[in-house]
Amino acid sequence: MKIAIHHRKGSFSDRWFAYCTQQGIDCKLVNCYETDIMDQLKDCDVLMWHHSQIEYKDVLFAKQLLSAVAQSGKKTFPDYKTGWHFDDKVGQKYLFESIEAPLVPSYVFYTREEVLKWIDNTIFPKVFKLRGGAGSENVKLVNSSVQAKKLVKKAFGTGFTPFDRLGYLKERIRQYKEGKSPLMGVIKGLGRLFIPTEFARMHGREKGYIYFQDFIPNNQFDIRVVVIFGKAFAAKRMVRKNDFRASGSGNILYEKEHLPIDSVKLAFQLSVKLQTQCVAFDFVYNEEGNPLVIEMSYGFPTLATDLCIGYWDESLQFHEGPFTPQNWIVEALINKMHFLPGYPAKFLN
Amino acid sequence: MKIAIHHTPGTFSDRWIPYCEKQGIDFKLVNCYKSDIITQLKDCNILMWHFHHSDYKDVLFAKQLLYSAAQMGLKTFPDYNTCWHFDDKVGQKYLFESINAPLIPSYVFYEKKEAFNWIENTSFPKVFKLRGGAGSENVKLVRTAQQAKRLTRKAFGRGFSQFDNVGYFKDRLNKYRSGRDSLLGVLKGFGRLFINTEYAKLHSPEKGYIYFQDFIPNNSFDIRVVVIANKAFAIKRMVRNGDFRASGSGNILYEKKHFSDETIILAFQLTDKLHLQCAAFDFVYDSTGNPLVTEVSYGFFSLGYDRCVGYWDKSLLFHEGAFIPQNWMVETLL
Repeated sequence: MKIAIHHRKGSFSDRWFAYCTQQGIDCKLVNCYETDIMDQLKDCDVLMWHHSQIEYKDVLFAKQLLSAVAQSGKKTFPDYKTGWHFDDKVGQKYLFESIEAPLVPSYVFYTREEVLKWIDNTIFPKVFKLRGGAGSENVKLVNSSVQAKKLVKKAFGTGFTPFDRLGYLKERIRQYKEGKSPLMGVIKGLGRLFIPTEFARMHGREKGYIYFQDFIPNNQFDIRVVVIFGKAFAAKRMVRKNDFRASGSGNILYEKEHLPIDSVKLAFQLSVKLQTQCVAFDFVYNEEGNPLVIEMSYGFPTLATDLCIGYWDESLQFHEGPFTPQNWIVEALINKMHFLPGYPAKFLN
Repeated sequence: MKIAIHHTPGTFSDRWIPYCEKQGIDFKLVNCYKSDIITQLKDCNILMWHFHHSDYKDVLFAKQLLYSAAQMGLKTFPDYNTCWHFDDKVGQKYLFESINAPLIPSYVFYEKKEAFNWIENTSFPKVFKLRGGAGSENVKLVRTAQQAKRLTRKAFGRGFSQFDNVGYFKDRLNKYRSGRDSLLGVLKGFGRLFINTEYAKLHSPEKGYIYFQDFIPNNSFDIRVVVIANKAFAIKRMVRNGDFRASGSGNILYEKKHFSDETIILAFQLTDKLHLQCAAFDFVYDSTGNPLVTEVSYGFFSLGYDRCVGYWDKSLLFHEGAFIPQNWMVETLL
């Protein structure tokens, strides 16, 4: 058993490599961007690549490469069921609906006529989202049908850049005011008004579709639960001041008393149904106090989760103490853990 | 057992529907473009959708919808193995390499510097392709390093439009000259110089990568073999006059004598290895006469194959006579 690891600084691979070396697990570093990557993989049984949604190269071909490697019989992280819907809220809408998950009601339209008809017959506010983007980028509260129609015009006209420059600057200013980011961050934000990111430069504009979600009011936070091969950990993210968006706010609570167990249980259920290796779900609560899923992602920032004080196992037993979730992924792949028969069947009910 | 069919005139569904009607197979028409499509599928066991790469809506979400339907427990046509690489030559490079298929050597670069290094150290001509596009759209013969560098600069600069309007016009003009297109076709091609297709308008320019294949000389044709349900049929496409591209030329030969057993066997083997429901492979031949695969597609233009004189089964027995391959797609799902 030999593992091929594509290394990206600041990603899971920082720890995968250290863990393999420490445990004496046979591994080698590969470069997925090289045209001979398939040759590099010849002597390996597993490919692990924590690809990113903000790296334009990764978006161009990471999923395709992983699919091809899997089709030849090797194991991959992420695998198809874990990765195909990554950074794609449109795909996730269909997927969550297909397993009857408690999804925040979501709507997608591919023609102007259809969406205009819908706007005239729905209520506002709604939440507008682009299909891609992390940390509440590309997410807007839409208070009126007039505002929604303006977005429609843009979606089926010039389209949206995947990087919202003005939104980025505002966010930097907010972080500075709250003491979470230096003044340099604001200056960078100003610069980005004029110089687009490499991602925005290489990526085309998002258009040809429009996506809305129902607005769930009175949420001061969201709950993020990560499930990796039968273990779960969670964090509570408070919304930005005078805003409705929690993801990326930087106000995070880790203590167990803040983390509702029904979210953890739901996360286990969904991950079993979806057969994912590793998944982070974001939940909000409706007026009856039930968790609703907003979206999911196989990747998450490593450092933020280091502050978690423990994890739950499948029987919802809490294990206090530090842990390294990236290591769980390596362990599971080596032990050929996939979806073991009978894997917490109780969560399916 | 109930089949959900998304109907688009001019696609496989033209034949799926009459076949289901004739055979008394329970089916209903669904509209995949509606926001409530998952609800529409609730009482079905199978979803069939011949989605198309030139419809921007399909490109936006067809694969995602099919994967979700599969997660729901439905069988789908096409399924994941069959379609994830559809209209994606970059994905197919990795796929064919992963099973050691005899692929025409193919190269992809995601950095300008890497591509330039390679250009300095390779020989020409090479064939430049965008990852998407059918009928030899977006395919160019590159004769010199200089020309390759020009394309590379464009690939990492403003990029390529998905629709090559000059190439399209030239193609229509050439077809008209050889009597395979009407004057109206040429005029349409001329109009497209100024008015973009809806697809090109909605799709962003292709950029951030560059893809080349080795040029295989002395091929005056390519062979396309379609495999469905352990049956195969084939056509021979002659290249355009004074050109190297066969796909979309419109010069097609159907007689059995044009097809070697070796090619048919290879198509069956690739289909099995990749677990494909339906696959149209394009082959050219190297200087020693061995078939090399250039690409694969689950979709094909139904009318182009109606003149096939028969099909092979897996034991290479040839069954002469007319057949409707779209019906096989339905049968295998039941």
